[in-house]
Amino acid sequence: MNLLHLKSVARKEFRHVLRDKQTLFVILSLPLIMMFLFGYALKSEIEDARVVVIDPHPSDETRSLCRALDENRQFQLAAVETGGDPAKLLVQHRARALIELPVDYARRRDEAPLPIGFVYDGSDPATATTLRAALPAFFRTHFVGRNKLEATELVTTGTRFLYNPDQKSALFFVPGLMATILAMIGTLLTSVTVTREKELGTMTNLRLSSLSASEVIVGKLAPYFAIASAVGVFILLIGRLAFGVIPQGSVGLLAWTTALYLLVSLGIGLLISTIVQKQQHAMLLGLGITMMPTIMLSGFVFPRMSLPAPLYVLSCVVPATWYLQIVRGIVLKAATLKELWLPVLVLGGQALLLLGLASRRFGKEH
Amino acid sequence: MSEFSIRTMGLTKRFGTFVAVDGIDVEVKRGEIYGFLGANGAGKTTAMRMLCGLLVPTSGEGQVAGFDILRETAKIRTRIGYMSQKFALYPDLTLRENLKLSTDLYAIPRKLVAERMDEAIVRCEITEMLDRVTGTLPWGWQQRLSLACATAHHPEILFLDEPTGSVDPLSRRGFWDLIRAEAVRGTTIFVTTHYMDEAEYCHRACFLVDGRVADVGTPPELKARHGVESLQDVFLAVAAKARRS
Repeated sequence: MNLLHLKSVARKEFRHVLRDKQTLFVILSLPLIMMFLFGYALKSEIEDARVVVIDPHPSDETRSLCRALDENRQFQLAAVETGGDPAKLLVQHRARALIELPVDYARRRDEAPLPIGFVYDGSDPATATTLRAALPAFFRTHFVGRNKLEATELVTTGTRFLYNPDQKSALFFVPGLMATILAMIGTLLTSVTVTREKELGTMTNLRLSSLSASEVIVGKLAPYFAIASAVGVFILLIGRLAFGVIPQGSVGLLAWTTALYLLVSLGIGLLISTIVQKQQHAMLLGLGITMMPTIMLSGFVFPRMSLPAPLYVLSCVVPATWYLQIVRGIVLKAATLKELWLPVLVLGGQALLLLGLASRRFGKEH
Repeated sequence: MSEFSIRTMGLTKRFGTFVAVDGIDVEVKRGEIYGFLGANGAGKTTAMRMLCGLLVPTSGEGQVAGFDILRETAKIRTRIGYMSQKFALYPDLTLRENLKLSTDLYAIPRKLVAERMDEAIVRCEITEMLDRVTGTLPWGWQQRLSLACATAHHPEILFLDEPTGSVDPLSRRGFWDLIRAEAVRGTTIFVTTHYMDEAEYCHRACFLVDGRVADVGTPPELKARHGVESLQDVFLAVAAKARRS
């Protein structure tokens, strides 16, 4: 490896990126758009969800309950009815959920269990699922706060979320988006830069030069490694400034494991570029290989446990599956290498395998 | 040193059952402009790519600049320049940046770089546009830059793969004036083309038909042998026997 050779290739590559304003714009706007899209559109917290209460026998007690419900930031009291068809009431009041209080609520409110019925609007499963946890939780705290019930009696059935006690969605999507965006950028930039030279015919010049294949590879990939790393920092900064996500664990560990993940992505990109000849094909293949598996199979959006067996096996091959364990571990649980050795080892193996295979194929063409 | 820049014996390239180049023997003298002529698909480019070390021959042997094309491709690469039919420079870099990159790629010693760049800039007449972005300039400038990039390291042999493509005769003549100046400097020129007006510039021309050498000679020799007035007619006479195209 000749450092001067590396430098001249890397410098030219940097110039391509800096002069190609459109690509530069896409590289920077992709994380921004995805972060804010996920941040605001996919928020799992609820706010002012409209709720109807069926109270067959209004009393001071039920009125105080309704007031408390309305004052809670999560809910908004849409109406109080003395009876009726729940389905019709939900539609009529544009409500997300309906609460049926027993006739003798005032008399039995100190008893447990208290028979309260909940009806959810299942046409919007995401909100229904969240409300299904939020409404009973509201009742538990309401009773524990105001009544003489033994707190322990209720806490035994209660649930606690460790690491993300408020179930803040930012803590869920920032690691997921790190995995998705870095895979996309790393793979696409690499495969496009190589196929672009094939299209231009400049690859022939590189092959006829005194540079070795490995000098071309390292010189060409180093700038994209640097750019993708900068994007990683950018994502963490947005996560921190806009969504208040602060990594609990070692930032140093996060940095070098992320570098490892990037090497895997660059390896995939390089491999693609030895298979296809055109930039367009490289882009489509790159997107197909990185974006969908990373979002669908890695455990980012859907739990891997619920995947059918063949897909579960496939998900073990997806690099993001392992990287996600690392990022979630470090960002949420302050995990160290001691707990994360397996995913780190798998990523290391994948990086070696992919870069090795891609360099070999590239060298044969060279 | 041998008097030949390029020599091949039975050079052959097969792609599956298709024989692209079929046992050609070629001898190119030092400082000669040697034309490799033939129809599309006759095997010109394949043969040239084997000589440059871009393709491995199926059989046969050859020497370029005194080095074996099978075993010493790395040594050959530093002694040749290559220009292809397609404009193969970076359109988003300036002329100066493209040229600088080429001097880096051909590993010109650092203390020689500035001198060699200046020399190539003057020789190939690209001084005025040095800091313009390459992709925005007309063909003539781009092609002169290509030539500067391919010759800044002072190669012994310059390979030109259909260098003028489909450009107007005037630009083509301007380009050929530069090529002839290269030959005067002692550079061997190996050029493939199917434009017969370009073939007239060659010291010797070799007609390739179906991957085989159909005839070789100086333009006057070839015309006399076939009893015709122009290389165009020689081309038509030898190409008539082709089975491939």
